Amino acid sequence: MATAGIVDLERAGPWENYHRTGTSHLRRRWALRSGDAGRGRDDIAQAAASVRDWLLDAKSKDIPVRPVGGAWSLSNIQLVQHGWMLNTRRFNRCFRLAAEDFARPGSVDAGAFMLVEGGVQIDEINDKLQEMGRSLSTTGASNGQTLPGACATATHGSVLDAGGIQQHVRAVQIVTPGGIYWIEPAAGLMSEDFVRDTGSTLLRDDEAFAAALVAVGSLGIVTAMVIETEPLYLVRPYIKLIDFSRDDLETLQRGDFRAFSEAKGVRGLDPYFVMVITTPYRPFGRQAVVRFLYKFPWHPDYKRHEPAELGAGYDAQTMMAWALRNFPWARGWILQTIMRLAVGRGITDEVYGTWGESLETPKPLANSFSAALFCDRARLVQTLEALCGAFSRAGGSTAVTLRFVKGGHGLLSPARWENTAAIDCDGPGGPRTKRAYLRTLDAIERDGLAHTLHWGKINNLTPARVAADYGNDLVRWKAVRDRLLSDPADRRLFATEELRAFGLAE
Amino acid sequence: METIAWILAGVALLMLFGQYLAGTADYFLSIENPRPLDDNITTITIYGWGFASQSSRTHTAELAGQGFADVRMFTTRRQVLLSFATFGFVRPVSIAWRGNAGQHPLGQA
Repeated sequence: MATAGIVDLERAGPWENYHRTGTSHLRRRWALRSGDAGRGRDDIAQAAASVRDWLLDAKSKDIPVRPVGGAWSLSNIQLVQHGWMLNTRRFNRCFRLAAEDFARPGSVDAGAFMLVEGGVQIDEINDKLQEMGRSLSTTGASNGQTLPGACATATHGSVLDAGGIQQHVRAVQIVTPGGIYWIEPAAGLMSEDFVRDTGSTLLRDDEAFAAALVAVGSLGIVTAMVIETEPLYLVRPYIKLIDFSRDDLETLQRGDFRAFSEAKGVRGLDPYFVMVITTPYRPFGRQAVVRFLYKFPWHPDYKRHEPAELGAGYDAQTMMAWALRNFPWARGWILQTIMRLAVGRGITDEVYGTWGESLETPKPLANSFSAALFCDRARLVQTLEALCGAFSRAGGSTAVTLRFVKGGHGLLSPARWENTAAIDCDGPGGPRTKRAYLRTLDAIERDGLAHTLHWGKINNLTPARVAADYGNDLVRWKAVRDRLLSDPADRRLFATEELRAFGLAE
Repeated sequence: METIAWILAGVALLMLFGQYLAGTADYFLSIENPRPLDDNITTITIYGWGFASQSSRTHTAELAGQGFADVRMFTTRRQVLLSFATFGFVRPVSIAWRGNAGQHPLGQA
C-alpha cells in the first residue's frame, strides 16, 4: 500500500514556471504524491504529516520553501530562490463526502460538497463533479491551475453573479511548521471526528477563513479543500465579431447585460457570462469579439462537442503572441485580423455543453504576457479609456478583455467592489509589452483611478500600494498570518522576493 | 536570360524564407485530458542529413511508470539558421514534453 507523502526528485538548479516568465534557482525539488489509502481523510492526514515534517526540516536548515501546483501565475509569485520547491500536482485525488462527515448532517446536502487534495487541477475537478452530477459555478478562462493555486490569487471568470473561484471553498487544510490547521467559518461545517481523522487542529474562525480564501501562498501549504458546488448545468455559447461602441461600453458599465445581450447576442435570454475582447488602439468604432454563455438545466441528450466548438481555446492567444512579438509595428492590423480569422462566423448555432466541457488546458506554445486590472464597474468607461490611451501610446501589444466579477470572497480578493470589472491585457511576452504596461499603470495611478491588480499576473505592486488598496483588510490578513505562523522563523520560510515586494512578507 | 535568372533566384530565396518560417512551427501531440506536470525541453541534433540519426542521439525521459501528458517538437529560429548555414548537415530540433500527474477515480472521503 502506497502512503501519501513527499518524495525527493533529486533535482536542483533552474526551474521555469508554466508561462516561462520567471526562473527559480533551486537547492532541491520535491513532489507531494497521493497514496492509495481507502479513505480520503487518511490520504490527506498522511500527506499533511509528511508536509509538516518537510517544513520542519526546511526550517531547521533555514531554507525558504514554495509549493507549486500548475505554476500558472505570471507574476513570479510561485518562485523561490535558493530554496526548496514542492510540486503538488501528483497529490490530486478527489473524494465524495457523506452526511455523517458534517457537523450538522441533517442540514446539508452532502452530495453538493467534494473534498479535494491540494494538487488537483480545475480540469480534474470538473470531470469528477460531472460524475456526481455537479458543477463549479465559475472558473478562470482555462482549467490548468490547481484549485489552491487559483484561489491563492483569486482567479476570476466572467460569470455575472459570481465572484472569484475561491467562492466555492468551504474549508481549507493548511500546514505550517507549527501545526496542521483545518480552517472553516465560525458556524462550522465538518464534524470534529472528520477533522481529527484528517490529522488537523480545528480552527473555526471567520477571520482565519476569510484570510485563507485568498492566501497568496503566504499562510502555509494548502493540502486540502472542501468545495461546495451546484447542480450540473449546460451552457450555450455565443461568440461573434461585433461593432463595439462607447454606448455599448456604457451599457456594460450600467450592468445592463440583458440589453447588451439583446443587441449583440441571443435575443430573449439572460446572459450567464459576458466577455468582450477589443484592441487598445481603437477600442471603439472597430470590431470586437463578444462571448456570451447562456445557462440551461442539464439533460443527458445534448450533442457532445469538443471544447473548441464551445468557444474554449488558447491557441488564438499563443498565435497572437507569436505574431505580435515578431511584427509589433503592425499590431493594430494584426489584432483586428486575428479577431476576424479566429472568430470567423463565430458560434451562433445552438450548441450546448457543461461548464467543464467549455474549457480546455492551454498549450504553452509561446511566451505570453498577461495582466489584469480590477476597478469599480461604475467607472469602467473612464478606466478603460485611460488604460487604452496610455497603453497604446507606450507601445503595448496585447488585446484587451473585459470581464465582470462580483466582489468579496476573501480579505485579499482584488475584486473589491460589489460590482467589479476586470480589464485583462493578454498577448505576447517580452520586455517591450511589460514596460508599456507598467507605464500604463503609473499613468492610471497618476490619474487617481481606483484599481487593484491581479496577484498572479504582471503588476507593479509595492508594499505602499497594497496597503492603500486593501487597507484594514490587509491588517486583518496579516493578523491571521501572524497567528498561523507565530514564530518569525516560520514566516521567513514562506517569505519570497515577490511577496516582500507586495508587502506580504518581511 | 538575366531576368529569368533573377526570377529564379527570387523564387529560391522565397522558398528558403518559407522553409525558415515553416521550420519554427510547432508539432504538438497530447493525450485527452493531459493533466500535465512540469515542462522539460531537450535538444536532439541530427547530423549528416539524417544518415547518422540513430539511437545514439535519442533522449530518454525520466517518466518510467508515469507516462507522457503531451509532447511538442519545434525548432527555434537560431536552430533553423544553423541548419541552413550547414546545408542541413547539422539539424537540431527541440522536443518538449510533460509527464502525466496521474488520474485517480473519485473516492470516498
